Amino acid sequence: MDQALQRQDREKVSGELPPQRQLSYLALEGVRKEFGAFTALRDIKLEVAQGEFVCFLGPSGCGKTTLLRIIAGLEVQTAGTVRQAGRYISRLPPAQRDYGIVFQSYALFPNLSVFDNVAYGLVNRREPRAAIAARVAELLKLVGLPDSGAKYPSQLSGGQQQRIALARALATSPGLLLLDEPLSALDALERVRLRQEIRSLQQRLGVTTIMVTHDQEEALSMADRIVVMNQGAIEQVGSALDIYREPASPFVADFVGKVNVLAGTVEAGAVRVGSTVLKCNGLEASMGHAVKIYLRPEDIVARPIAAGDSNVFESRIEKIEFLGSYCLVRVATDGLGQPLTVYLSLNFLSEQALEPGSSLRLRILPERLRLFDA
Amino acid sequence: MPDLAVSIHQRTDPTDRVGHGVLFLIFGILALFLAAPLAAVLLQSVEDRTGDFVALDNFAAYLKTPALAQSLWNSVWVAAVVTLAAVPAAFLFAYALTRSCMPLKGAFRTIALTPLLAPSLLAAISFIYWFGNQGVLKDAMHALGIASIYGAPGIIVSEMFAVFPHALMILVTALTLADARLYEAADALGTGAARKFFTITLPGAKYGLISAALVTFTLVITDFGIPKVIGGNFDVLATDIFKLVIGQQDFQRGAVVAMFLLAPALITFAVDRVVQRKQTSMLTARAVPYSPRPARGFDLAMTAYCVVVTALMLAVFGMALYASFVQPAPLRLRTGRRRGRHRLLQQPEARVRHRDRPYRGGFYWSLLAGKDTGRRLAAPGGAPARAAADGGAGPGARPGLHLLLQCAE
Repeated sequence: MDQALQRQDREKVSGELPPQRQLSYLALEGVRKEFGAFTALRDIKLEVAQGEFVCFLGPSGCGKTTLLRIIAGLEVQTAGTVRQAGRYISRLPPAQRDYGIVFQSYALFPNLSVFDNVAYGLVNRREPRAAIAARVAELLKLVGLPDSGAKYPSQLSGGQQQRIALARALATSPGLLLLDEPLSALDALERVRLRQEIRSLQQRLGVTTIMVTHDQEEALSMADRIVVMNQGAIEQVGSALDIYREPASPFVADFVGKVNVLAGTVEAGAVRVGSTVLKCNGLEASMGHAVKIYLRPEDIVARPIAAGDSNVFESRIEKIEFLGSYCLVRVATDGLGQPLTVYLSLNFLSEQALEPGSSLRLRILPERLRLFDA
Repeated sequence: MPDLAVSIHQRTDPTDRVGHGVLFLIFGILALFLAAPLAAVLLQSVEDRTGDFVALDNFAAYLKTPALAQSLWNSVWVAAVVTLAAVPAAFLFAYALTRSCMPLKGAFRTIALTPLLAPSLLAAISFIYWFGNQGVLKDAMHALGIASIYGAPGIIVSEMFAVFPHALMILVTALTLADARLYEAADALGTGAARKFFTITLPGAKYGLISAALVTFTLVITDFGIPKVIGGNFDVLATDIFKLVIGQQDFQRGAVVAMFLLAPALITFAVDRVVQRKQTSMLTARAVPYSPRPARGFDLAMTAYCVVVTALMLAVFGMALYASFVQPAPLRLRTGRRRGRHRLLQQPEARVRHRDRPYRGGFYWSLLAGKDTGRRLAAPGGAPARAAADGGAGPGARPGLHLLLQCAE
């Protein structure tokens, strides 16, 4: 039912377009935004495919919310174009664009009942009353709050309010769903639950979705593709695994996931760090070049270590941070000249009776070393 | 094992002790200067002239007097008209100040608030200069079909001028607090300007509007100065008190009228309590403050409206200022005709002296009157009569009421 409804709406919006054009449902070209002397966004180029879930990820002030607001028409770009479903919408006011938006603060109308909140956009379209009632009931069921129509927003919990905000945004069956940090106001448990709900709802409806977040876990777990942004520019676009495993820049490596940064110099097929030489696969930099080595905690393993393995070194446990089933362990190394952070399972720690002061043999996986210019 | 039945009292922090002391002091002052006079008035209203308890006989007798019932009706309808006219006018002004990008907001706001600095009857005096029997624009007023400024028309326009800043202050506060995200959500849902106004702006300012209406009504119904100056033969409750207490020395019936004047304050208090309980927070900590965007046509219209309002205010103030520095010819002519009604404004002996000394402005006479008033107030036994003459509990309750409503915002 929902899918049929969505498909029908999709045809209404972009039915005339040839199929190859639909691959880029939303296209941003050369989008720039200046607030006085401050440049919030510089030359943003991005394409989003039909039905895709894209996350804008970055630290606060990186311009991700500004970019979302430009797509929504709530902010006007200084330069550049926005195309949605083959239509240039760069200069259209919000009301003439085709999207639904969910804000961080829910922004439900506090004086209107849940029913009237969800029906708000439908009333603007002067749809018949019976059709509105049916659509609202359907949406409330969709977000799992079928009986809350008569309540007021203040009577609902944060998570429930955000579900209603989602229903309100989806009521007019928009072609594009924009989520502006929709989960950051909720407590940790509710956040994880709603995260999954939003993702499955999005997949069920097949609605193209852009979500802004500063929470990397959220982005990694929900998005088809992640757009990592920093200081008004896009650093990298890719799948969660791409971004994590193959960060395109030191910023991405640093921002997404935990990382150890070592300073070294390039030698033949290896890098020298302190007094240790680490073997490194696929090395491209020239000899003697100063580099920074980015290592994830899980790139350093305690087992299995076979005799004759390369990149093996001795270390001493300095500190164990308990995180549940695994622990974040800081180890001191003589050879590398700086401490490293590694993940060790709780089982392993108790098996080996490891505690601060214990010595430990570790190995760095040679294929995992990521080098950047120092 | 500790006894769970014994409740534990936390020790009081020394700084809290100081706070409690101050609170008690304030309570004492309030009891002495507000509750005690109110109790005295209440007591008077249920006693006869000899001091015997007569329950509600005074009230019954009062309501049976046709002339006084007429005053009650006059007070109510004039206050209602002023409320219905001044609150929307102030709302539009506040809307211009908070929701438009018009220039000179600070200047408009300052001018609109200046009546706060003057006694309310200043507007009445000024309107007499403009439209009175010797008024500058009397003929223009006749052309509009108003026979005389004295009476209800004069009271209404003067009160509108006097209460405008009170309503404006409350409404500016109410309209300043707005969540920009609600407007953005409405924009995203393709909402027209009228629907945004009725579903976001108006509900958001609802409690401010109720407060402003209650304050305006209370201020007008308890005001004594304006009806006294420009009311002519149009009697209202506040002037009745003066006549009863000062003219006829009838403290009992004066107290009854004072009780009637207290009613709006009590109603205000009750409504405020109900409203407070109903009020759900429009603003959460995550709300984004609304900031208006330039829109040429709208800004121009708002500027035009504010120019008109402030020009009217300046005309009223300007005339009062002008009159205070020139020979009080129109005043003298007018008082010649309606002597007795304006005893408070001019000292008769001063007027006589004035004829000997040719050039002295109203400013001089007001200083003289001030000196004279000071002397009379210092005289023993003047206090109770003065309290009653001030319109019973009305003005006394007013500042407290204001604070109450401001806190409720």
